[in-house]
Order: sequence, then structure tokens, then C-alpha cells
Amino acid sequence: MADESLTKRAQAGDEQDLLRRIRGGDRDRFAELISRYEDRVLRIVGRRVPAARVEEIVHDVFVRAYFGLAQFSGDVPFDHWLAGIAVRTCYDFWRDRTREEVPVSTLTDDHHRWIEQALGAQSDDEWRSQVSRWEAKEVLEWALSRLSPENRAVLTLVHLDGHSVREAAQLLGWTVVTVKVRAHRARHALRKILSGNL
Amino acid sequence: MTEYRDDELQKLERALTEAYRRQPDPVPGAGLAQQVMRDIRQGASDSGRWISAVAVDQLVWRTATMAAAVVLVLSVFTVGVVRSMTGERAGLLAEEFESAPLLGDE
Repeated sequence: MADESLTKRAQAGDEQDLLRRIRGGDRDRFAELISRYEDRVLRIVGRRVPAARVEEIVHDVFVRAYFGLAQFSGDVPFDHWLAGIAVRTCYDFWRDRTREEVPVSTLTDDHHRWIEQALGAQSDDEWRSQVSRWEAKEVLEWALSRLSPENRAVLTLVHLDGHSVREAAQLLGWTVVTVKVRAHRARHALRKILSGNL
Repeated sequence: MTEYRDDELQKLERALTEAYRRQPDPVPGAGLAQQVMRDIRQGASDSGRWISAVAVDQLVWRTATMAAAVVLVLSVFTVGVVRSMTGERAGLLAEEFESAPLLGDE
């Protein structure tokens, strides 16, 4: 336990030193931060944007992070700060997409059948096998695509990722009250979409 | 779509949440760090060019402001000098009139 805490402290110190060097002009050392956090950023972005756009968005996250390093105060750990940039870059992606008015997909008979099967699952095993099917992911994507970018961002963080309202507020750079209100509205909107009322 | 009961909606939400959490993590693409670093270098040199363009703009504006200030000071000075000269002339002219006898005085 004590060893773990010492290792964490040593890593944090090492990271602070690395950040100091990068800010001091040793630009190439930023590559070390990319390889350190690439997987984490990929995981955040991969769950939020279409697979074909993941690499491009991850790239944008790191470029934004580099040019925003001057704003990193060190009040929160670097990985939290970077996660916030990743979440906001994905949010911007959906805002731009809404402006472009990309047509929303519709549900097919396969999807409707999946919903009926998922609702009718009698055992845990049956339910687990249903949620692993590709239709599940597509129905989720369909429902999320009908939400506003704000509702989508909050719903993903709070209801799907399971972050607290405070954490979600930090990641989005919004107030706790805004996130609380949005989270409630987003869930209400999702329920309406799933019931076919929106 | 069918109208669902509250418990059915909860079950559907739970299934979708689970489906979301079961998504496999994407595999990192090769050479991401190199691509990012290349764009950062490019962006930094672009921002350097941008900074020098801003500096030139500032220099032009400062020079123009200083030139305008000099012109203003010179104008005020010239107006002052001209006024004082015309004032003197007017004074001299007034003296001429005062010293000269008026028609009725003769």
C-alpha cells in the first residue's frame, strides 16, 4: 500500500517535470505524454464518436492539449484535464454534425425484434447474450443520435459511464447545477425516444 | 414504436447501458504520436508566422498613431502661431484706425 502511494507520487513528480520541460520549449517530449495517455483517450473517444472518426478525433485531442498546456494549472491531475479535453472535443464533434444536419438513421425490423427479445429475456444468461448482440449497439446509437449534443454528452457521462454529476461538470467545464438539470432532461428525452414519443 | 411500461423502459435502458459498457476498446492506430507531433510543429511554426504578422500590424498601427499625434501637435502649434500673428495684425490695424481722425472729428 505504502509502496503503491510512493510509486504514484514518483510518477506525478516525473509528470510535473515532463510538463515543465515541454512548457519550457522541449516540444518533442510531448510524444511521451501521447504514448502514456493514448489508450485512455482512445477509450473515451471510441465510445463517443463513429469508429471511422476515432483516430482523427484522438489526434485533435492531443493537438488541443498541447496548445492548451499554458492553461493547465495543475489543480487537477493531468489525466483528468486531458479527459476533459477529450470529452469536450467529442461534444464539439456532435455539435458540428448537428449543424451539418446529417440524416438520423432509422430502426429496422431486426432492431425492433432485438428490443422485444431483450425485454422478454427470462434469465440472466439470456439477457447477457442479448446485450452482446450488434443490434444493441445500433439501437443505442440510434437513440443517442436523436438527442441534442448537450443531452448526449451529459447522458453518456452520467448514465452510461457512471460518472458523478460533479465529475461530469468538471469534464464538461459546466456548472454542477447545469449538469444536474441536463442529466434529468436527457434521461427524460431518452425515455421518450425509446417509447417512440420523440 | 410501441409504448412501453415504466419497468420495460428501465429494462431497455439497462440493456443499452450494458451494451455501451461492453464495447471493445478501439485499437490504437500506428504512428499517432508522430502525426500529432508533426502537426504540433507545423501549428507552432504557423503560430510563429501569425505572431510576426501581428507584430507587423502592431508596428504599423503604432507608427500611424504616432504620426497622427505629431501632425495634430504641429497643427495646433501652427493654428496658435497663425492666430497670434493675425491677432497682432488686427491689433495694429485697430491702432491705425484709432489714431486716424474720424471724418466727423475734423
